[in-house]
Amino acid sequence: MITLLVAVPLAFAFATVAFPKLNKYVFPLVTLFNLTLLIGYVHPTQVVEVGKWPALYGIVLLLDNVNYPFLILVNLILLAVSISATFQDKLGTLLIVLTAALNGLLLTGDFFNAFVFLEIISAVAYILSAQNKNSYAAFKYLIFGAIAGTLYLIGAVSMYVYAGTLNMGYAGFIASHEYLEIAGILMLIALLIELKVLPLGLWAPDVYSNGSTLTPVILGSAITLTMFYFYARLFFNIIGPVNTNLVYVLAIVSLIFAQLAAMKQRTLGRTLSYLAIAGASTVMAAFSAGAMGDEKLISAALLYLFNDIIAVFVLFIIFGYLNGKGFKDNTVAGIAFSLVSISLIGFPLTAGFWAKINLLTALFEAGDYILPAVLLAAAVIQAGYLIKWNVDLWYVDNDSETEEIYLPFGAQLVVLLFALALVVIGFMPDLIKAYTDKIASHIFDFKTYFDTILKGGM
Amino acid sequence: MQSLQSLIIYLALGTLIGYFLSKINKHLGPIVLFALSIFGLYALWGMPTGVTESLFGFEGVLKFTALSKYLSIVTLIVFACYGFFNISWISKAKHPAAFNALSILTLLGTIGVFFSAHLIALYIFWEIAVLASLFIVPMGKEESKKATIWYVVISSIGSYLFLYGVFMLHEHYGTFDIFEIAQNIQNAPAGFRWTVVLLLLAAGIAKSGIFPLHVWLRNVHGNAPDTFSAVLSGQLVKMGSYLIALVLSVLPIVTMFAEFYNGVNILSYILIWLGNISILVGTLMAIKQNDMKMLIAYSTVANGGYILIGLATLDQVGYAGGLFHIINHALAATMIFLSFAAVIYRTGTTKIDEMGGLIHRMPVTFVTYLVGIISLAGIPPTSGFISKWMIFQSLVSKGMFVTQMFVFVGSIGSFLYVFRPLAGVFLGQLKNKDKNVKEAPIVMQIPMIILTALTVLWGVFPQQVLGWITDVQKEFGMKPFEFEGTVLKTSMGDWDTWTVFVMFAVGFIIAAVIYVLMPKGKKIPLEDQYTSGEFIHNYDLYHYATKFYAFLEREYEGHPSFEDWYLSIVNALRSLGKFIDYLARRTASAYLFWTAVVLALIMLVRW
Repeated sequence: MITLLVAVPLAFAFATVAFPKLNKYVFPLVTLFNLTLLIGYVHPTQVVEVGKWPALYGIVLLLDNVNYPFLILVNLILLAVSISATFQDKLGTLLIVLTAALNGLLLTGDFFNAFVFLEIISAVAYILSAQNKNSYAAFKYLIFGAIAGTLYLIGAVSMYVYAGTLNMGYAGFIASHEYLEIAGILMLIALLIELKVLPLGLWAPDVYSNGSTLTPVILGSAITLTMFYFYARLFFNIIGPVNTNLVYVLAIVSLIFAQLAAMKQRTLGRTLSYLAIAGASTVMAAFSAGAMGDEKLISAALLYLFNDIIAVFVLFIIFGYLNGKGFKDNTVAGIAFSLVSISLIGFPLTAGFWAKINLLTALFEAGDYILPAVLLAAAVIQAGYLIKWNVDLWYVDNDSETEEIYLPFGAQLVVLLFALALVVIGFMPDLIKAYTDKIASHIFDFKTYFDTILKGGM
Repeated sequence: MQSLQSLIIYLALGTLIGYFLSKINKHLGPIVLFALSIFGLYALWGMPTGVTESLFGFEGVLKFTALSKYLSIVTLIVFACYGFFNISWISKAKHPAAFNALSILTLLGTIGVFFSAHLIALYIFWEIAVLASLFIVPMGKEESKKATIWYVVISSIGSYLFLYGVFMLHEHYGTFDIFEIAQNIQNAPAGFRWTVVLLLLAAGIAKSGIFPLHVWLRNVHGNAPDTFSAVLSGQLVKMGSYLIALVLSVLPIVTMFAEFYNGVNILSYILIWLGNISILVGTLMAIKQNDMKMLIAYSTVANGGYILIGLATLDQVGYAGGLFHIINHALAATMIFLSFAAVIYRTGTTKIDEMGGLIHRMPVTFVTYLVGIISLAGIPPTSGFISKWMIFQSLVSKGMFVTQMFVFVGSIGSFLYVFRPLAGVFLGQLKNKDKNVKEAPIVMQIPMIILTALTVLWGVFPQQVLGWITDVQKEFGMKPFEFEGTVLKTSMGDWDTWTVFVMFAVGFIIAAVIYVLMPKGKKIPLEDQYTSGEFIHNYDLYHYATKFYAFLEREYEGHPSFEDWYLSIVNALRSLGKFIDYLARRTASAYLFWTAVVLALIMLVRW
């Protein structure tokens, strides 16, 4: 059944090549179908051996407690994008393919299969980032992404050479720790590039600020989320736990620099891109601090990730439509923007507040005193420029220069719902915390993962 | 008998109700606020202290101490007057519905801070108050947008330092309850004690506008909507003072830090010096201002210094003096800002030299301002005198003569700078354009009159306030201030407020009798004047207000500006950000370079 999550979008994607006009309807329908399947019919834990080849020789798709919440959220985001974003009809095919690829990456248990999906995601990402005549930035992203893909491939191949199988679980079981680390480094770099950790994330400001309602939204929310899942799967479950001190340092430096860069920007697009980088860096720093098995910290980091993803979604959609114009005629957009800003800064009572408090609690309990200090210092800077943008956008003097721009109804609905969701979670954080705790408790459990995949034994 | 939690719920509901009612008719919102404040006063006036309650299911989060009661009453008085005043003033507000709702939310946050014993709950309510006031401030003048950024950044610096300290404490003691922590903290190592206490105090220092985190006050209080400046200056900075008072009294500071000077421990001494510098900076900068609201904003800096000095002495008379000064400055600042709001409501400007002679048109406003500045300057029989006298007493009895000098110079300086708006706005020549200005509406006059009456009442009969204050001192194990009826007793002598008042009254009556009996002078209009035989056509030029204290300002003209220093830090950080952005705009080969660097780095570390 879980193969349907990948197969259905893929099939419909091919179908829409012939009928591009239908894309507007097929895309939301496909994501809706996925969501229904996930919520209603498919539950963890399930394993599918593609082509009935045993896990060792073939590709395995696995749905367990770790990727189930991720799947729901990613499909939900894609559904939201389908309703709220404006895109050319022919892009619709690509987006449906992207749906298939994201679901595939979330489900797969095979290194090369993951590579295939990674490349599909990257290809779509390059095309998306070239929107709005942003070709040079897309080209630079392409170069960076090609390096990422190549490094990952070398890592996957070296895994195959050593372990004799491409199955993630079995390779993790049989390979020695040092070998895993080296192969892991190659894959790590690939993921760091996608996760926008500076200096490997230098492509992000140019790409995210192209002003399209599609690019930064999908890249910043759905793709980032999937990449974080894949990182957690690899480095906590399969290869790990691995001591990631250097990634920790890199992520902290990236956080500080991203916030400082955001402070300097004069255009909203670049500010938001650096904000996205900063958010991803924070989560990465928290992940690396908790890499040795700190479940509480990982759970808090996941809540922070959730808040960040939703926030980035809302902020970039509003930026894509309004392009820096004020909120005088767009009250709904303004309210959503402000609520989301408040959540990002961490004012009570929003999801972001609980994320920060939980993160700080977990960090202090783990004996880490540096990341909290950096986190709070970065929060001061973030508060400064976010409030500045809020005030500037709410109190702009409308010179009535050009036509008035309004958000389409679908976009208004989505951003308002997402912003209100953050407030509701602020009052009832256990709604999301239940999921993040579950993910955190299962992600370090390699034995269960291994047993599930090779349920038949060798 | 209300519970604390129900009060918080009423305020939360009040925010929503106030918002929707204001959409119907904007005058309804302030009525809701006024009603809630009066209800709060009624509920809290008789409530016994020492009650611990739970909040929304979390045990032991709320605690009603004597300090909570005292400061809640101060806050509610300020908000009640503010709410009543707004019933009329709200017609000038830009976004009345949001303004009303956020005002009630600010009250909720502040009262919540006073009720919290759990440090995270305190942080939550603190941030709610900051958030609510943050969105009201840009509704003022054009420059208020920049001021908002100052506000949020400096407030965040304070709050996040506080949060870091709270988590450090939680890590050590496993609890967020400040009273439990206080019992165990004496045994902590010295570095830990210093760090934690300074971190906790940082939020209070940032909020009450003490040097070096004082730079935001001028812009924010000066540019915020007029009546809200009264709340900002009269009440929100008191939230900072509350935190300082709480930390200084709950944590056993006297045993935690070594004694430094004549019974004053070293942490208190540092705080007293910060207070000294605040007084100096506040006074000198206030003398320079031409905008009346910014002037009083600086006065808030100076008075914050007084409060800090009083609280930090941790002594029978000084601590009581600091607490008394909280209520005095709250009343005085509210009176002054409300009278300014009335003046601006009628004249439309805040620049002192654009006004003049308004005593002829707005006598009630004038009297309010006059009593306010008399209280600030510390002249009997207003209540301001008592608190200043108590602080002076305690400093002298400890032999702290340098601080005494600063405090005294500050006191004289305060009289200088409060006189500037008095002479510039109310006295002197009435400008032509203001000829038809009327007195403020009666709705605005009532709270001003009430505040005036309270200031004088508590100046003559301070027993009520002193009762609250001595309750606070007793609860924290300090020796309470001694008073008997209207006689205030210190180690250096007694002061009978009733005797002094009688003296003033007798003098006043004698003067009144003379005035009535003696032949009256002839009343002439303002324009009937001559100068050197020349006839003046433009009477506006007669008014002496521009560069009022030029002779004094010249003395410290080239002084360094802290605001500029902070801005230069921001610029330095910006240029660092520019460098990062520069890296992001390079060519694709640069990206390859970075990948190689990171790859090499990680491989190196692993090997």
